[in-house]
Amino acid sequence: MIAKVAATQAVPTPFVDWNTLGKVIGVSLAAGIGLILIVSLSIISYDWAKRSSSGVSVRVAGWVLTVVSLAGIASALIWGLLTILKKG
Amino acid sequence: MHNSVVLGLVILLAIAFDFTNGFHDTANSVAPTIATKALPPRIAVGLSAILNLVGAFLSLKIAATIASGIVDQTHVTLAVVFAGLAGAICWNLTTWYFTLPSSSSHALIGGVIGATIASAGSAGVLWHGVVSKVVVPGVLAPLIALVLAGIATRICRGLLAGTGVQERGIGLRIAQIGASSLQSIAHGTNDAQKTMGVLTLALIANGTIATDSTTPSWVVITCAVAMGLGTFIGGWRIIRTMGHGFTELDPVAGLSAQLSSSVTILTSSHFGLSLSTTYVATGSVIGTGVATKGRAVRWGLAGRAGIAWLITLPVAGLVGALAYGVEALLGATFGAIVLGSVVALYSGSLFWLASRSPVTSSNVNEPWSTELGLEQVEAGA
Repeated sequence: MIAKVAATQAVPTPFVDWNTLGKVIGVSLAAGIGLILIVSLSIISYDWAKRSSSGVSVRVAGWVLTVVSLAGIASALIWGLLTILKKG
Repeated sequence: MHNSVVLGLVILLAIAFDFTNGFHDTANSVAPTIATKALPPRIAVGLSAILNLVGAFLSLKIAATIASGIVDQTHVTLAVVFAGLAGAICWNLTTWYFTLPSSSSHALIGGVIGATIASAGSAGVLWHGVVSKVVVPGVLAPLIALVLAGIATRICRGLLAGTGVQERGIGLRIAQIGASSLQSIAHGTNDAQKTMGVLTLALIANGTIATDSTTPSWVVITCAVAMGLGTFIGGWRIIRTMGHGFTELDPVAGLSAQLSSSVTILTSSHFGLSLSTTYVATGSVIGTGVATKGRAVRWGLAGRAGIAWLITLPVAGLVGALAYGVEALLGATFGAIVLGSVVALYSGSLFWLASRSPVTSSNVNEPWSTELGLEQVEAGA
């Protein structure tokens, strides 16, 4: 009984929630790098699509990639808005 | 305990704090947009003001607390709220005058901690909460943002090197406006609700509304409008520091900074950790400078901002404690009137001093070496 009580008391509230901090750092880095890659991809593909010297297939691929990457950016924006709403 | 005079002054001070919060924090979301000319200054600030207003109305789950988990809520009286707000406003305006970004939320927390210590002793402060909710996130926030913005800048600059100037310009501009808009909405939702919570708490503490009452509509509308107006007035002095002071931003750096800030703030929100928007935004801007070859970071200015962050809690706390002491000495009503007058006088003096070296929408983008505001100190560095 005494051992049980001691065991219960021996688990203090963590002074710093390193677990959450670690998640914030990891997810921020992953999401941030992912997002900058998608935004860069959308600009590169738009550049391909608009470049007159490119062949038709490159231009079509450019437009497809632009639309796909814009959809990715839109998803990120929606996630951001949902996070804001959830917190509020 | 009913005291209409003190309650009225608390309401005025809370609205004033909300206003200073708006114009102090405008820079966090719009400084890179303005510095890289993605939007004209007035348009950028106007858009941010509208989105702050929208954000304030987006969700209304308002908690009638102030510095929750940081001070023992049983010690939070009308006098403590009043003194805490006085400390926060004085610190916000002082850092604005000295053109330094600093956290409005930390200023309010500092003011309330000081007033609580003066009222109930240090036992009224939950020091565990101060470290875990304020100090540790305060140190880590700029570092996380700095690293992320640095990596983002390198990636973006490398990938976009061969793209057409016009296509790159359009893409970066749209992305910057999107990231800035998201940050403005998040700020409106987060910070306006804090003041709504403070006002609701004051109304409950005064016995004006019942403990289980919802926040009155006039509180919601007033706080949203005060925050929006503050943002619209534009804290040009801090916008200039964030956009040109720490480092010069080009569109790639501007986008990297804004995306990094948005992602870090929203991710921390997602995990229930509250990071200071100001510290994150500043860390991001400095990170882009660190990652760009040949683009110096003005470490002297960054150091001054760092010192301001270090002393935010103690100084706002000291003012909060002094303010509480004055109230205790002169009595609640007379003390509050005297304190309100002192805060108004101090604020007016800073606005007058700032008007002698004004930073406005018309000169916010002038080269940093130009002597505006207080930056002549930095110009020689």
